[in-house]
Amino acid sequence: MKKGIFVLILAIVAGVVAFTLMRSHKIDSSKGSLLDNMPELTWLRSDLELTDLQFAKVTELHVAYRPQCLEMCHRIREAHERLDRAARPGTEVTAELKAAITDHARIHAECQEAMMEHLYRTAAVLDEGQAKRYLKTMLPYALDFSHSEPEGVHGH
Amino acid sequence: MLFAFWREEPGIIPDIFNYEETKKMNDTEFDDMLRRARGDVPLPDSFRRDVWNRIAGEEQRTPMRWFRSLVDDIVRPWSAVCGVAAMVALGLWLGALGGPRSTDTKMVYAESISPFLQAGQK
Repeated sequence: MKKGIFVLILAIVAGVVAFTLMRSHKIDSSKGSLLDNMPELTWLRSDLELTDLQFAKVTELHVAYRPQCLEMCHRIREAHERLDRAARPGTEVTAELKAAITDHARIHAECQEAMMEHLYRTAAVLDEGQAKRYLKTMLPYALDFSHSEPEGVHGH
Repeated sequence: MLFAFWREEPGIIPDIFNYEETKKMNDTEFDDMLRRARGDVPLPDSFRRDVWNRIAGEEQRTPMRWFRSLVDDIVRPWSAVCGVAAMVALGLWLGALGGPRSTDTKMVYAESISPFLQAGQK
């Protein structure tokens, strides 16, 4: 009985050690691509296999774009809130609601344009294959056809 | 086991011993008494079968029987080697799972450059 329990404990300990070693190995191997201050760029580094030079340029573009992106995020949110406030109580399209719709659409278009500009600038740093893959993956996030596609909210 | 069975079930054996006396005896005294009595007491035909049935019944009721059975099996050399190897393989497999996946990192990047996704989250 004692021998059996010893073997059982040994097996469990061996399993735990194997798990720990594998996990630490995996973390070590991904450290090269996980930047301390910008982990969001991991996908670019690991999946698109950027060179150090490409990565440095992409990082520079990303850092420059970040404040702009944050500001756009605030503007979009404010436009959503204004539109929501104007639409909720009324029973018809008032001048205020009309202005909110126009404002919302304008801000949406400006942000879309800025995001696409950033995507094209980033793609310009990459080689042809990388750029193609990058744009194919990221453009849908900027185009956002979710409101007019068959599977979108309107169900056409 | 046999002696304990006898002492707990006095009705099964012809009452040639004083049952109350035997209850007061320790195991050594009881063993001595049984040795002295060997051959003198006619056992019922079903005695052996009843004892084994009762042993089997006790084993069925033993808690953690599966654990005892596992421990008994694992002490065999090949079982031990296979068990340790299986646990190591399981540990390696679980360790390899759960890291940052490609789809997750892609989404994280998309969120970092999309003001629409960021506005929707907050």
